[in-house]
Amino acid sequence: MSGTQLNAKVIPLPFPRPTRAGTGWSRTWRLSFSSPNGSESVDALRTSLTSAGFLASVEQVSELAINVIVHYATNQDPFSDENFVFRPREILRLVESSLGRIAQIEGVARTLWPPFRPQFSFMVSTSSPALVLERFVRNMLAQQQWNRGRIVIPGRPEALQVGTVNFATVNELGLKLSPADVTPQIQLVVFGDDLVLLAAEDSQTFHDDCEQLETLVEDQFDVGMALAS
Amino acid sequence: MGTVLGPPVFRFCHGTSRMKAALVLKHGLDQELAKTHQCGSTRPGSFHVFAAPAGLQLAYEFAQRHEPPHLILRGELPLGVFTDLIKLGAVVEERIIGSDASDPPQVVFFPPAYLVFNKSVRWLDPFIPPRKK
Repeated sequence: MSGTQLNAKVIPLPFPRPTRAGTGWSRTWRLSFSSPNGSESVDALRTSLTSAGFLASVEQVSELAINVIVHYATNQDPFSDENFVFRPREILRLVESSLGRIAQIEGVARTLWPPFRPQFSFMVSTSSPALVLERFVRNMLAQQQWNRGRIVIPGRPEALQVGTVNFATVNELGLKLSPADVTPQIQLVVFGDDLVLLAAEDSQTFHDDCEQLETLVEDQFDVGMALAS
Repeated sequence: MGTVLGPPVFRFCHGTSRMKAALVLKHGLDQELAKTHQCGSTRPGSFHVFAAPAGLQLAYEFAQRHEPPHLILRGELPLGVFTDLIKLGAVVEERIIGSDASDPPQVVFFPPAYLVFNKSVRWLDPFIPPRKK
């Protein structure tokens, strides 16, 4: 089957797979730290995991690494949406509150994993002129229409919903973009707290332009941005 | 949804294995096939997607439940068809239990939607996720 490589649009994360363990399942999260709080904190973590309803054990691999092993009884589905993707976020938060800042999760930098991903990221893959995007970001931030990760469009409450905002809507923000300025594939998306610009085509030139834009926005508006790669 | 130059569409993505994606592309949505090949669903026979591109990352993450290699199916439905299916109750948009407020909602197609879906869907080039680091 043919397909498009998705380098610029998806952050690859090695979610550990649950494996059969006795009559149920278990799933091991391998975490490392740059400066852990100390071995007594592992006991505190065990307590907080139990209090939060997890059937989990914590294995101290070294001073700088632990494994959190989550156990699932037979009547629980470890592949459910909740157990596979969302509950682990809770575990990771508990680990940090007990043991200190995580350095890596499954060998991947903490900042790429939810719930620690930067709040304001900038994922770009498009062939549109960078200037258009720069104007857009400048305009939106200058008008304080960027509010808690959502785009506020006066008179259009439905646009407050998380979703895709097309360039017709962008025009309503007063930018007066014309179709000649953009490619039809470009979409501006509010993704949680992120402003995401996506398009069907990739372009190294534009990728480079966006890195410059990232620096520009960070310097000017004192917000953290991360360019997904 | 959609773009300024094209007709309005509901564009979606669905993370799965390449093998299961091939079945969907070959047979369309099928309740029995879905029951056989779903992973982690609390509603056997239904088809779950996220709006694209907002839900791309979550679709990728859910694909990890399946045996590798993984793939993200992408498709689009005319927006009118999609909204009609919602009005009929054959499709619902909902927050997943345990998700954060910033996560996009999922869209669930139930079997009564499949005939219309299969007639109207336009499959786009699927995404092949990058290799894990």
